[in-house]
Amino acid sequence: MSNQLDHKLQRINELLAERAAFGLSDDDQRTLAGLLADSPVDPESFERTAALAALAFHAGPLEALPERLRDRIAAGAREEVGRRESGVGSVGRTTDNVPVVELSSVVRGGARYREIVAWVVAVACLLLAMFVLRRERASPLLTPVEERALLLERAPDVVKIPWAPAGDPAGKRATGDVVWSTENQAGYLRFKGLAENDPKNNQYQLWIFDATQDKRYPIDGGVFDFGPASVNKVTGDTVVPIRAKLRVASPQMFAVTVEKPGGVVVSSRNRLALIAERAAPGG
Amino acid sequence: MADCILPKVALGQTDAIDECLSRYGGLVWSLARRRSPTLSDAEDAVQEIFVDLWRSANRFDEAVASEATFVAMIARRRLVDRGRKQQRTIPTTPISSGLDQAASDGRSPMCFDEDIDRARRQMELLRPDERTVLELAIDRGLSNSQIAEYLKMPLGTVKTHARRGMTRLRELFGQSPRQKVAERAP
Repeated sequence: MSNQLDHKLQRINELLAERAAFGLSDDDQRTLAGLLADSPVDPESFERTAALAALAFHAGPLEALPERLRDRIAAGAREEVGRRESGVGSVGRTTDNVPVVELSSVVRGGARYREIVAWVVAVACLLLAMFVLRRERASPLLTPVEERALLLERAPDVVKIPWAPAGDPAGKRATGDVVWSTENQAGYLRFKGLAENDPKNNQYQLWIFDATQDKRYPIDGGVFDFGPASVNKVTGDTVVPIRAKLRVASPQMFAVTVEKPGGVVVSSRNRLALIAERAAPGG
Repeated sequence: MADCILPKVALGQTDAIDECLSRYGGLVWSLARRRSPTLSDAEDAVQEIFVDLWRSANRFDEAVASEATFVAMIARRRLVDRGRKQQRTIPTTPISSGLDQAASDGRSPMCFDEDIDRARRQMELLRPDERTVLELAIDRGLSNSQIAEYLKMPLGTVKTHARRGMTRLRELFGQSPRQKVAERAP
């Protein structure tokens, strides 16, 4: 019996540690929820640990919350807190991070029902507002060429760096540049003369080397193809949006490699096609 | 040390909202920017995080963790969840319409600087492999399989380093694995 309990406790701790570090699959999340029932384990101790570690790993000063975003959050919060004060709803004590489960487990009587309806309406309003805001921000009518031009025109911190061949035949005749704005976390690759790739065999992949990061771990900037279909008929260029998987704080170099379809997590860098390196300050 | 603000938020004091945003807006924004592929994604994440925070404010217990740690926990939970969902979808890169100037310089004159300094010293006590795996997971947001590929390590070894590292960190940070009796009361 004791062994069973020890094993259960061990499994709970494994899942909690994994959840805090990486997140859990839906299956593991359900397993954990089952194991945690009637368990004395604090389900948040590892999450608090990871939170403090995240703060400690964070290098440099904190960035300020943009004022417009702050105003938007404050307005929504006052509405929500005001609703709570007026007795329309109240915040229940949660024990885990699955609020939907929590709602379904606390349905008791008409007052509780009205509370839930109020919450559902509030959440629906919030989702609608976020959907509208997202639509406002997106610019689906612009091509990558136009978006690039807009970034160059509007972003005060934008940088433009020319490509240089890096040895692989695929990039031998290529020209073009990278534009990037750290403030906007957006950028574009522009090419002419890059070798056409067959997406069934290989794809190009962008890597971003950040000064604040270990050089062994460049940020994955996304995969792309180059061929007649990608060429803009007006400019003759191919412009590819950068899809950085992580925030880029201080980009020092952009590199394009040839990889297997879908890209890789770590490049062997055996087929390095192009690089674009920022000049050193004062250089 | 500043007074805790979350209990006031939990009591529905609307003026506490501005104070909460002043104290923790930069913290949440910085964490979101670090884990979000685009600016608009970070904005959406921050809005969701603060909604979570307003709803969870009454669960904050300063005897268990500092307020900053609690806020970071709520933020990470949402960011990890969004990250997992994004791994299953194709990322988009909408161009931003640009943001207003920052509300402040972003530096945080808060009580949690001391906590962070202490945590940094304690993290130096981890084994190098454990620290590297946790840094890639917690700071860079990589999955365990991505870390295995990065470090050319078997997946099981990555998970073991992560679990041992997290357990060791929990001890070092003084986070009790036992739930407080009061917390478990219905």
